[in-house]
Amino acid sequence: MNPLKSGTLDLALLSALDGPPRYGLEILHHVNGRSGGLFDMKEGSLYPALHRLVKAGWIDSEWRESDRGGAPRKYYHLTDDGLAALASKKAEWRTLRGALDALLLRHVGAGRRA
Amino acid sequence: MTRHTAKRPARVLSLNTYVHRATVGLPRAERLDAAAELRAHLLERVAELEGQGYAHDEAEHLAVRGMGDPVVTNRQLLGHFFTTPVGWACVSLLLAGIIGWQVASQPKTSVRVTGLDDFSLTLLLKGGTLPTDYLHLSFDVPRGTRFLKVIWMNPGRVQESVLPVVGSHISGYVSLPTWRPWWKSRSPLPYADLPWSKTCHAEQPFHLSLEAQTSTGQSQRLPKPEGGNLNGLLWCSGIPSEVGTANAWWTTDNFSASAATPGLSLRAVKLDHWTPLMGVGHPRANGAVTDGGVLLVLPSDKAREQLPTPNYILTADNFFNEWKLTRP
Repeated sequence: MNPLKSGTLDLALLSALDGPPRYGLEILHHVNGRSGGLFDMKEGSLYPALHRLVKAGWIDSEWRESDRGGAPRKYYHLTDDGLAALASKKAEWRTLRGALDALLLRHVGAGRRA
Repeated sequence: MTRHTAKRPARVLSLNTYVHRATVGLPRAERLDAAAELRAHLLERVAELEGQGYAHDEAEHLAVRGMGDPVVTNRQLLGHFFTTPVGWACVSLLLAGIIGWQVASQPKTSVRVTGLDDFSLTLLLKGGTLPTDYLHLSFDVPRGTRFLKVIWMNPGRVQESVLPVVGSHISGYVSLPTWRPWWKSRSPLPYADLPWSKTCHAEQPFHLSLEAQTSTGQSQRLPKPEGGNLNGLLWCSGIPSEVGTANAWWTTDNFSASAATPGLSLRAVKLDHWTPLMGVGHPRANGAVTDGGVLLVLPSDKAREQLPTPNYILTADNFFNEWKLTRP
């Protein structure tokens, strides 16, 4: 199962842009690298997701010349709304994770008691 | 006895074809932006892979494969577009146009695009072609049709044919061999009867055919289009892909080009109206469309000598590897 299908893609992308602006391939390397390869994101799905976040007003983009002399790259960065959305999604994630941890720990405890 | 089923090789798309298919259908400004971004991404991935020691063709293949299915990307990009007010406005206008067009139209039938089917397989068994990129089209001519005029239009050149229509069903196909030299060592050629070195080249001419199937089951085939290879054998095209779409493009109502989607009825063929059926291009390394052309048909109930000639200008959109038909 790809964990990115379970609704965490937006959080992963916003998190990847919580810092210096990054272009698509850089975002991909960042997400895949930081997740230890767990998020095996299909490259073709990255750009529709980024464009969706642009339309939502959470990120913005600008074209810049490549520092390697190649084709220009489109860099993305968080907007103020994106920063707020990231904070909100992080809080949701922590709440969800805490609830699941509590549920799983109770199940483990119940199993042991049995 | 154990029956072994050979797994077909994955489709191999060129970089340009991937970008074309992933962005087709977007509004022009958005499409240019998305295409430039995807192309920049792919070029950088190709450079990375070449740095790891892969040959250019292999690097391009791996980079394109890493992008996943262009149809999925295209659907996601289009879906995103249709979440915007502008997108919904376009959908509304499109629906209104379609309804109005349906009401006002004359007797017509729809063109249907498919991948490999029985007709195509029959051709394969005849030894006609072993394509990699393959598209089959079919349509029924409108009631009353006596002749089908077919135009094969190249830049600066028009080739005409007139097909007396006895039956009602027209079938055609186009295949665009995309042979890559490195496939020679990667995939077997079970159908090939001649060595690659004698018959195959990196750039094969396209292969195009259109034929009418009559009510008696006989068929009439149109003459060979210039620049094509109707009568030749294309043994170098590899095994037919599972999906079997061609790198061929259908012209839309405003006569700009868009990609074919197998299984969909894309156009209606009307009596005494020119219908662009497909565009066939042969992309070069620099992305330019340098040969091929556009196929147009006109079903008519008029006499052969009264059939008109289309008044279009054919130009190439080298950015998207598409043909465009415009009125002078």
